Amino acid sequence: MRKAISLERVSFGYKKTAFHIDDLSLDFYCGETAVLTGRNGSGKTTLSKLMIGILKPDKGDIFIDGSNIKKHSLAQNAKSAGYLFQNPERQLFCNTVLEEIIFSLRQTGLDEPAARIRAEELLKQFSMEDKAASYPLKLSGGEKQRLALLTVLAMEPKYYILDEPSSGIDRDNKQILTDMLNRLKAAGAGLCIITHDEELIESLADRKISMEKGRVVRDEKA
Amino acid sequence: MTALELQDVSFSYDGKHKILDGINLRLPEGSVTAISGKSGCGKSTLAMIACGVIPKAVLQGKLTGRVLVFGEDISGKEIYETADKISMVFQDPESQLFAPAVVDEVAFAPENLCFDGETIAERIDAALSTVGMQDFKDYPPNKLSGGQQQLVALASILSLEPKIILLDEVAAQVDSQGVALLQDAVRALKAQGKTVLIIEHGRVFEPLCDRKYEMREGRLYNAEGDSCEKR
Amino acid sequence: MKKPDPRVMLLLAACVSTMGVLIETTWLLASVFAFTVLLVSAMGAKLTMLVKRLKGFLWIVLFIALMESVFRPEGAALINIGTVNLVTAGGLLRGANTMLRIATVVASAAVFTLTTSRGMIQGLIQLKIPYEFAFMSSVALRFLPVFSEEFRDTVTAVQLRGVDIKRIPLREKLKIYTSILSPVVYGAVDKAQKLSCAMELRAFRAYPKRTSRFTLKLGAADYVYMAVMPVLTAAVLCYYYILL
Repeated sequence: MRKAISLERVSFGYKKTAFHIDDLSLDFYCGETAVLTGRNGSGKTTLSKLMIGILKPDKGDIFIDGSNIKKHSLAQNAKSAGYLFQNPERQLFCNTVLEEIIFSLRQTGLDEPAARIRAEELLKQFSMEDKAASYPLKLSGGEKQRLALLTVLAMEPKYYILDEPSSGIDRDNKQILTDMLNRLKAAGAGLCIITHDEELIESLADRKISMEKGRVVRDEKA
Repeated sequence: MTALELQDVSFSYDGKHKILDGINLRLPEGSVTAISGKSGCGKSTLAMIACGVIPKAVLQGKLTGRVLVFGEDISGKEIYETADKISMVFQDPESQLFAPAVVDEVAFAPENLCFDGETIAERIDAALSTVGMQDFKDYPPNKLSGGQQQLVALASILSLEPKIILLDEVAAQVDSQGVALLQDAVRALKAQGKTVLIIEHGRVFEPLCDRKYEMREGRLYNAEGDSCEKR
Repeated sequence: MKKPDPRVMLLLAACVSTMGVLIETTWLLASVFAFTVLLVSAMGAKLTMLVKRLKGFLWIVLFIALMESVFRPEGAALINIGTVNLVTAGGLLRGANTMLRIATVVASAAVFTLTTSRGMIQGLIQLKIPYEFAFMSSVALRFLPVFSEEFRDTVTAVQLRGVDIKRIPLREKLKIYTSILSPVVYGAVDKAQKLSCAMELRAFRAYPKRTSRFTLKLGAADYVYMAVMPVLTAAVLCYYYILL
C-alpha cells in the first residue's frame, strides 16, 4: 500500500498546557481505514491537525504524498488530503448548499457551469438534491455533517481525515454517512477516522490506533 | 399524581405541516420516560412545548391543546414562572453555560429566585452531589469534558429543585465516559423521585426508563405500537 | 498585599484613565504609568503578563503615535520631504504621550485579571448597576473567545478548500472574509437565543431583583485605596493644572 501521510519523529506542545507529543512516528496508507481512538485530551485531534498542517510541529517532519508539508501552504496540502472538522458548522460558509459544493469544485479547476452541473450530480448521488437551495447552517446536524463531507469529497483528495464524523447525529443519518464512507473506501481512498462510535469502528476499521496522553499505545489490525 | 400532561397538543410552524399532531401524554410523578425517534420527528419540539419554551421563547408557529404541570395550565405563564417546577437541559452545553466557574453556574438559578446565601450554598451542594461534580466547584466549565459540562448544565437546573426534568438529547455529543456519568445522574434523579422525560435517538437511557414511546411523524406511539391519539 | 475588591479595581481604572486622558506633560504621564505598573504589580498582577499585554498593543500604539506625529506637527522639523514636515519634535512628543496614555490604561486594566467575571458583576451590582447590564457584559466576555475561535476555524476551513488566502488579491480576500462573517454572526445569534432560553429556564427575570451567593466586603486595605486614590488623582491634576 502507498503511504499517504507520514509523520517522522514529530514533537509538538501547546504553549499554555502541559500536553505534548514527543518523537512520534506514524504512517497512514491509501486504501486503508485507520480508526484513531482515545479519551478526551489524549491527542487525537491534535494529531489529526498536525497531519494536515493546521498545526505545525515543533520538531520532526510530516509528509503528504511524499512531499514535506513545510514546503507548501495549507491550501496546497489540502488538495491531497481532505479534513472534516468535528463541528461541521465551522466549515460551512456559503449561502446555499449548492454553492458550498460549487466552491469546492471551482478550486479543482472546473469553471462555473461545469462546477454547477457536477455539484448537482453530487447532491443527487448523496440524496441531498432537495436541500440545494437551503442555507447550510439551517440544516439538521446530520445533514450538515453530510454536506461538510461532500464539500471535502468534491475536491477528490486521496486521503481523508475525519474528526468525530458521527457525533450528535441520529441512526438514519449515521447509516447514510457510513455508506458514504464505504463508497470512498471502495474507490481506494485512505481514511483516518477519529471516533468513539463502536458501530462505525465495527463497519469501517482496517486498523485501530489508540492514543493516551500524546502517545500511541496500540496500533493493530482490526 | 400526574406530573406532566399534554392534552391534544398539535403544533405547526407554517400552519400547514404539523410537527406535532394530536399528542396525548401523561407522565406520573416519579416516572422516567423515554421518547425516541428520528431527527426531525418532533420530539424536541414536544419537550420545548412541555416546559413553555414554545411558544414563549420561540415565537413562530401555532400551538393548540393544553399543557398541564401538576394539574395547572401553563399557557398563561412565562418560562421563568414555571422553571422551579419544570426545566430542561439541551444537547449543546456551550449554549447553556456562561459563568466563569461551575459554582457560579449552579448558583445562578437560586440567585434568580432570591434565596439567601445559606440556602443558595445548600442547593449548590445538593445539586452538585446529585450529579457527582462536587470536586469541580471552582473549575471553568469550558475546561471540562462534554459529559462533565452536561452534568454541570443538569446541576444548574437541579438547584431550582424542579419536580420535572426534561433531558433533550443530552448524550448526543458526549463520549462513552460521559454517557456513563449521565446515566448515573439519571439514576440519582430517579432515586430522588423526580419525574424525568428523556428525549433521545440513541436509546442510551432506555434501560433506566419505566415507559418508552416512539415519535413518528408528529405522533406518539407506545411500546405496543399503539398510537397515543385521543380516542 | 491582599487582592483588592473589584470595586477598588474599577476605581483604580477610572482614576488612572482620567489622569491619562487629561494630562499632556510627558514626564508626568510617564510617572503615572510607572506608578500604575508598580501599584498593579503590588496588588498581585504578574509583571510578565503585563509586559505581554503591552506588547500586544505595541503596533497599534506605534501606528497611532506616528499618525499623531505626522498630522499634528509642532516645533522643529526632524524629518521632512520637501516642504512637508513629516516628523517634528513636538509631534514626536505628542506621539510619545499617546503611547504612554494607552500603556497606562492597559496597565490599569491588568488589575482585572485578579478577579473573575462573576466578581466583577458582583462589584457592579453592589455599585447599584442593574444586574442585566452587568450580565450582558459578562456573557459577551465569555463568548468573545468563542467567536474569535470560530472565525479562525472558518478561515482555516476556507484554506482547507484550496484557497490560499495569503496569496489571493485583496478584493478576493475581502470577499472571503466578508462571507466568513455570515456563519459567525448566524452562530452568534443562534447561541444568544439558546442561551437566553436556558437562562429563563433557570428563572432569570423571575423577580425584579436577585440575590447573590456571596457579597463583596471591603477590607481595610480597600478602604485605604478608596480614600487615597481619588485624593492622589485630585492632587496630581491640581498640580498639573495650577502649577504647570
